[in-house]
Amino acid sequence: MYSVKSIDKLIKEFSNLPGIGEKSAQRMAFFISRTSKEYAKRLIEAIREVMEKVKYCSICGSVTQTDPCPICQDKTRDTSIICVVEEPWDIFVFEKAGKFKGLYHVLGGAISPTKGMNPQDLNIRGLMQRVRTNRIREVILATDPNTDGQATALYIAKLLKKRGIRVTRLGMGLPVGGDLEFADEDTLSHALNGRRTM
Amino acid sequence: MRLYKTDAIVLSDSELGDQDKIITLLSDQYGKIRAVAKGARRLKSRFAPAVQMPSYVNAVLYRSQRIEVDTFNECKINSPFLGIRNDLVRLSYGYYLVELIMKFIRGAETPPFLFDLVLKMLFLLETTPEKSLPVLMRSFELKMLTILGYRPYLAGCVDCHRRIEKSRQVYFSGYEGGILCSSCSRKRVGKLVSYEAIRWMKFFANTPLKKLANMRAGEKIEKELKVIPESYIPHRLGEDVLSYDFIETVQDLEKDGDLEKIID
Ligand SMILES: [Zn+2]
Ligand SMILES: [Zn+2]
Repeated sequence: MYSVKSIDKLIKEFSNLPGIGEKSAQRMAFFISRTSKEYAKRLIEAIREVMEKVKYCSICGSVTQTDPCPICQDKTRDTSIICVVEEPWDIFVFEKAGKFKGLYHVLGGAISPTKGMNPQDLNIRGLMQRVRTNRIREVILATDPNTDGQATALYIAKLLKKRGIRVTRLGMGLPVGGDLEFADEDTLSHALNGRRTM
Repeated sequence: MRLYKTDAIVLSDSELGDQDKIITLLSDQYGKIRAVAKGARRLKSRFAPAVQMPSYVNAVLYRSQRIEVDTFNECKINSPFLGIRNDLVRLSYGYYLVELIMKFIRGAETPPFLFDLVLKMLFLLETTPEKSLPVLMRSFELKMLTILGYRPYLAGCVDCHRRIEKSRQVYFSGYEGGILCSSCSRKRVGKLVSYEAIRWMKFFANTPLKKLANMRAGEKIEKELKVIPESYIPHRLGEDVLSYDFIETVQDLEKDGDLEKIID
């Protein structure tokens, strides 16, 4: 079979990216092979910069260039309320909606026992530490509104309630199923206002 | 066959590209089905609410000659099992149940009675008092294993076929597939269990699920019966059932004493 070794190598790397199948990986690799040297350089540079400069915030676990992240450092934010999300990009969705003025906590996924994702694999320990050492009034559980997200919320709620902390879950307007990252600003604001105590 | 309609239980999902999900279903007539739910990752998707594990749904699916996965055309919810999905203990059993089916049913055929058993179990998982859930699950496991032709051998020693007498020690071997007498247990690996535990196993294998709704076998027996999920089933499968640990994790959380261990 006809193949070019260097391109095959690139196809293989691209197909490891989330949501990229073999066909898309092929298209991307052939695009790179024909693109200008300048574009390829910029792409390599952008990847290198992310590798070198982006790290995880030691407080909330989000991706950031400074540690702590700008949100955790922001003195104007309400430090008594924490919104717990599955992934760093969920924060971008909330920030875009602009209604939430508290702090965040990134779990790094959701409990999914059949896929081998257990509570120990998530950044729950960090959350409990924050709750213990800071004056926290409320924790909002903004995990995805699907079964795994619900399992995660139920688990964390149980831990927090034992410590006497008010736990709420995003409510009204947020349909069951789907991923939070697809929420538009209106839906998210509604869900935030309509949050229910767990 | 192009369009077909079936009742099914949602077993699991995985992401497909930016928008879609691949859903694995269990049906009575068509066995295990894998189907694409277009747009199911989006929040306002018409499929997303229906394709949540472990919902009982009625689906219209499209089967193509070219690809091995089907496509959802419609999906209505028969029962969302919110009583399971909104309760951590019940949900932990739900995950385990679903994983058992995912791993034991490989092909496009569901053995007779299995679908009804799973469905019945889901309804009972919603309503059975929490304290009876371990017993209910052991009974489900034994019934499922029977249907699949993997029922543990309990009539006598697996090796020498001698009847087990009440006065003698009994061993249970997940690897050998049943009980061992004390002399055979010297050359085979088995776990010491009580004569009572074996009697309970037989009872659970033969008693209808719904009659177990308020049943307990006692803490000691229930602990012994864990040889089924912890040894017998993994040996039949040739692999672990990952979500079994989550049941235990949730049980630990229920007990106050273990809270600090989990956090610190
Ligand atoms: Zn931070
Ligand atoms: Zn023997």
